[in-house]
Amino acid sequence: MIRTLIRREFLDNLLSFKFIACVLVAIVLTAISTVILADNYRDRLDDYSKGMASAREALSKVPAYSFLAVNIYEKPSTLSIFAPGIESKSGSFVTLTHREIPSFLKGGLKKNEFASIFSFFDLSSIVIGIFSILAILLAYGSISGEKESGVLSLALSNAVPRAEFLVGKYLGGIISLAVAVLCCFLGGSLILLFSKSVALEAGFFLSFLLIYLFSLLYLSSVLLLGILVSSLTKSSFQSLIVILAFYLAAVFLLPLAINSAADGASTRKARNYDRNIDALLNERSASLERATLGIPVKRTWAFMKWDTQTDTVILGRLNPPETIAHYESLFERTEKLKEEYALRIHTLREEDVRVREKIDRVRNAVLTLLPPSCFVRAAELEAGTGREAQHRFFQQVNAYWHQYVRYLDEKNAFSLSYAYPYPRELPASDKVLVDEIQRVFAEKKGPLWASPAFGEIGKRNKKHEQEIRPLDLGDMPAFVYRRDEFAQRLRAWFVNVLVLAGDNLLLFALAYFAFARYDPRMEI
Amino acid sequence: MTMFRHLLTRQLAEDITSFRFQVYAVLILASLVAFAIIFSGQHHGRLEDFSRSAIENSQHLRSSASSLVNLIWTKQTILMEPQGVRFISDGHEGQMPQGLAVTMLGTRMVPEPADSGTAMLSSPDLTSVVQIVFSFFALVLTFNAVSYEKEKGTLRLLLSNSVLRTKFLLAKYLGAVMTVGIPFVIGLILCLVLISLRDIPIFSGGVMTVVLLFVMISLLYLSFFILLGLFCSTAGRGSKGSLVLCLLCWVLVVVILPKSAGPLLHLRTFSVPTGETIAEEARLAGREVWNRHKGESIIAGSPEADSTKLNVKVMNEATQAEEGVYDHYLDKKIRAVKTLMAANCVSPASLFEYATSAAAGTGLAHFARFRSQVVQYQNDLIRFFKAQDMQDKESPHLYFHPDYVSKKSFDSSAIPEFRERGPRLLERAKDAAAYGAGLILYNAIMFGIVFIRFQTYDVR
Repeated sequence: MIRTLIRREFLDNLLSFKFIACVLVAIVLTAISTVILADNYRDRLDDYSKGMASAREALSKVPAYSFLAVNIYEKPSTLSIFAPGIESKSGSFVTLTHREIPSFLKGGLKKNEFASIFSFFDLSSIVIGIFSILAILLAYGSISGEKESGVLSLALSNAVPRAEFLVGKYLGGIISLAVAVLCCFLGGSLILLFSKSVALEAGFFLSFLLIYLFSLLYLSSVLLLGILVSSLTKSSFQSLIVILAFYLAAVFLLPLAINSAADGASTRKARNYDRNIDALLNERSASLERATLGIPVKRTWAFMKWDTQTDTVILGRLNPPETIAHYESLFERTEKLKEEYALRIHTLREEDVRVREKIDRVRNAVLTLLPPSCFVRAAELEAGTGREAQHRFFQQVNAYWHQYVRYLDEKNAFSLSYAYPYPRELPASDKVLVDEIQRVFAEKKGPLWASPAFGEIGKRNKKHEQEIRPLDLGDMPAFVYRRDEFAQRLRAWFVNVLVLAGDNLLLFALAYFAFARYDPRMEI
Repeated sequence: MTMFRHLLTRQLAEDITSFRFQVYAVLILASLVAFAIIFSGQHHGRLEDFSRSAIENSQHLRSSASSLVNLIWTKQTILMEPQGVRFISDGHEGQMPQGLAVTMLGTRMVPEPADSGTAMLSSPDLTSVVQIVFSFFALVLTFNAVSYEKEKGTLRLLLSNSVLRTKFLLAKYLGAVMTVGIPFVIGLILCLVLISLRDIPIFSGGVMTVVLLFVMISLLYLSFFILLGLFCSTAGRGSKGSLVLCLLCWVLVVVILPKSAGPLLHLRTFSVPTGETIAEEARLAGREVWNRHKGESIIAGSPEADSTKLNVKVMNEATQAEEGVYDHYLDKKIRAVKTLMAANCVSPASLFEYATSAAAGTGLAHFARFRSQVVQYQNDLIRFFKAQDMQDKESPHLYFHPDYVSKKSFDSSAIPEFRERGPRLLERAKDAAAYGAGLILYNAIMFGIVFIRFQTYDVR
């Protein structure tokens, strides 16, 4: 009997105008979104491989440790085509030096600061936008509508148990939805399969299947809510009004309110943090100044290439010995100090991150109670495109920073060679020049640059610069980004799926009770 | 006329006592109250940030400009003033640059706050409530306005009773407008009172004109949805068919279409390099100016020497070239976003959003206004600088080479400070009018379609 019920329900749905219209619209939108987001993904992948190549090249050309900066790129995930999360909106790489533990992503395709006005629809917003509406349309008349048409009293009088009727309705609905969503997911993955240059990673299809199942779990809860409301109201029209109100609240209003409130709280905390960071930065520059003053230095002239913006420096080859001696002890102090402050700032930042995470946990806990947000989060967690994945990336970068700093220590990088890639001893011909300038400088006869030897030194220094051999960084530890294993991802979205399943069970039980007490007679 | 009035009151009475009206009125009022509370909390936080930054900036300006020459490089971080009208339309200000870092000779953008929005579509403002909830309400109210009367049989009765089709349609339309208008007006007043109770001055002349503009734009927007509902109600087969049509139209117009222009930003015409590349390009542009004068004698020496004058001139040209690169890209970014906004206007929901944001003077319009005021302020600073420099008899007055201007200390409390001025009403109305005209066009088209459709509607 139940098979007949399911088949009837399924065929009814499949041939209805609403079903065909919704599925057609959804397929068209999926196709558009997949093509465009795949294009965007290719762009980012291109950026990534170009960035990696240029980072490798840059590492092969580092003249001295002061110029050493490691660019680490985050590889875009293929699943971001279907569940973009925040991945496509944030930057794509970090720059790591001993002076700073990276805390934000730079570059990326978000180059226009005003572009956040625009967003784009993806598969999850199609599930929430179109398929939720379809689920509502399938469910709102399931009980009250059948009553209105008189079918309900007929069916029940024909010895169909109420439980079976309800299960038949539910299964018929969910199977139709499964078919509809499958069409879209298949369409999307076919486009990817046939589009060139999107190589699908291993495990892509598993994740894709999981996201499909999550969306079914979500849609099933919408369907059950529809059936529940339908068996609580007298007319199908009334149930529709109520369900749509739920839809608006759960999809738009409540997430908006919850997110704004949480963002507000998070920004309030961030204010204190900003102030502390500012204080620490001031302290840093003060201690740097002290460290520089602490060394008794005989003021002398110096040739160097200094870039204050990137904090990089190369000392000229033809500097007097005093200058060389001065910098030899200076770098050891200042760079160690910078390292220390990088760590302290990072610790402070961690505290801030912890506070924000606490707020985020509350936010997520509340959002989990709303099936649409719960579904989107589960999909993002599986795809690894959400905030959590980014946080994990930074954790790994942080771990790498410690490795990197240890490497610098081993190499004794903050000695003079930090910014002086030449042998200590001057060739005799150069030494004559230096002595000459020393003499002019000491006697203070007119401006230094008026001396012809000064111009000569400048020229020779330029030539020396071209002779610098790049550092051999072959033994430097490389950063390897490890995406979460399946077990870790499972642990991340497990709660969300559990809650969604719980929603389903609860709604089913409620619908069952409501329907058991339902009066199937037509109003005359 | 009496017939028409009768039709209208019948319609109104029916709508207001209906179940759907009650459900959605409750939903709307609840969300408006919640949003008002959330907004006032956020706004106080923003104000606090803004005034602290203004004070810090002012202190920094006084302390670092110890002598006149330092004024050239003193960098001020000037933030955009958070406005109370953001409750009416936020215009995505939270996800935009917060302001400009200004020196006498150039400006850079101050990036948006680090935690700007969890990929949120909209902010808790009146615009999003009208855009999403009220439009939905308008459709729910009208999706079966005609088909239901037909199913009940009252449509035939009415029309055979020599009621003109036009009048019937107009009564339906006006009835719906009023029904939507009631919770709208009540909600609006409630919100404004709530917000002003939380110490945000909202009952001022400026804000009230914005509110008035907002009401007009909202009515245009909602009228479109009412007409859309009426159309669906005559187009679909029966109430159920028109319902499906309505919901799909709504999802397309409100959810999908406003999100469709985003990817166009990756087109070559709109693309801009990253911040790092722009900085590099600017540096090269500056160097290029110096290179152009390579053979000439441009060594700075005594202030009277021609070579010094040329040096200063080239230096200023180089600075201008550098700043020109930054300005060029900023202009390009804004132009790209504006073009895409125009492309997004295929959806009335986007049109509405942009119209309210223009009326309130928030969002991109705010930034553009702020930027032009900052440029004016830079000119004021330069004028002040030159006036001060003129008072120093020893200064060679060669601007803006640090070696050839006054190095004396001066009265730093006299340095002009930046004050942001609000938009003029005329400016705002003009900005909003273009979008408003779009909405009127949509209404006219929709009205035409509904009218023709209903004239040929089979009432049997």
